[in-house]
Amino acid sequence: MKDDLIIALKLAAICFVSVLLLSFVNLITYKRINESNVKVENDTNKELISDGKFFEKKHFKSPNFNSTNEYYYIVKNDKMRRIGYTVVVICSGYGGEMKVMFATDNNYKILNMKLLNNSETPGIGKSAEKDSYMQKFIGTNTPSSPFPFKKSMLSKEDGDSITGATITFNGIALGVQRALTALDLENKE
Amino acid sequence: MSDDTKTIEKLDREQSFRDSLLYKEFIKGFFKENPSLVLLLGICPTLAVTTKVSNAIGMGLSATFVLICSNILISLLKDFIPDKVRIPGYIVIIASFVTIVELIIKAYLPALSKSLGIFIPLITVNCIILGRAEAFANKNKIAPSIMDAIGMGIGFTLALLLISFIRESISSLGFDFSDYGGKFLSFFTDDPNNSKIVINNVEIYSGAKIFTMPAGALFIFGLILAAINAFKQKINSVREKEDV
Repeated sequence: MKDDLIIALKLAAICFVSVLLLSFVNLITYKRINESNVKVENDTNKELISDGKFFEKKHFKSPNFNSTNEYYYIVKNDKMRRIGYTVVVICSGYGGEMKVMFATDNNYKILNMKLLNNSETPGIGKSAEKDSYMQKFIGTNTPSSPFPFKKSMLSKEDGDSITGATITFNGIALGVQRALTALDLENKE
Repeated sequence: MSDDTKTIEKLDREQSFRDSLLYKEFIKGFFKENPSLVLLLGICPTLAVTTKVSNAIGMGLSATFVLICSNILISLLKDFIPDKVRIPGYIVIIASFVTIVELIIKAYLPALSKSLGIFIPLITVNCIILGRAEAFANKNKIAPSIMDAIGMGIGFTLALLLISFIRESISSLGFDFSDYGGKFLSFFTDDPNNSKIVINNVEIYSGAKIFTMPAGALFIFGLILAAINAFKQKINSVREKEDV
């Protein structure tokens, strides 16, 4: 019993020192990582809607969204007219959380989409980082072309392309649909 | 003291260093016990990240840093960590250093972090790191453990560099250093997306994309292993002849 307690205490001591060390490194790098993430987000905003000049950040009112990680921008052109939205949403993938950014026009039609931070499997779920992967979502969410939030809504070719990475697809699709519904609801209000 | 005596003393010192245990621990990882090409450890990241030379440098240096730090700490704590829980103890130490590397790369080299992706956290379970901790650092003093880590780290980096050099040369006809804020160094053109060999306005070769894929990596890796084995056999046969 005493021996086991000593073993446990020794392991706990190693863990404690590790935590202290990691906290110190996190303290040094946190600011810089945040700055880098903001830069990536700003660049992606411009990439998703090339006509967008001004991006006004808004938080979802719904408690279903994490206010620090999930939000949207009202996008305006150089004449200060609203031309759409860009949305940052956290989706649940095979390797944990995935950060997805997408752009819509004023009627919430998907204009562009990008997978940012993720830990998906290289060669399988990670292929969602490619622009070609996101083509299946672009132009959808209109009365004639509903947003494909499940695999059965895809064409055979698109369905085949996500074989082996269904969890990644479901995570992205459900996350984006959740954000689209909330966006629509908030702007109606 | 004459110059000749000084030179002889210097040569003696160099010879005694070469004969020393520390030097042997340091040099063995380069070729004789190269972790990737001879011990065949850490093959997964070796094949996965060697698409670009810049990835190989990043991964090699990261793994070397973790290897040195973990070997130092495990060698220091070998009497403190109870034998029953040594593997969880080592994993906590290794994972901590890997997280430090991950945070530093994310902060200062975000493009490299994106490029290496999941393979940085996976250094934690890289057989080379845990293998050296278990097979060497927990049985030896701090100085040989450091030399072993540096040698193995350099050996791993050299193996990654060799494979990535061949793969990127064949697949991209140049080297992409944009992850480090540099540019694409093409063999033939300045355009990173359009490196190709053109003769009389006819495109002869624009890179074999198979070598950017795991299958291409395995093919190159197999050829290198075959070359090393052939070289070893030749050396052995020469030695046998000399013995006879």
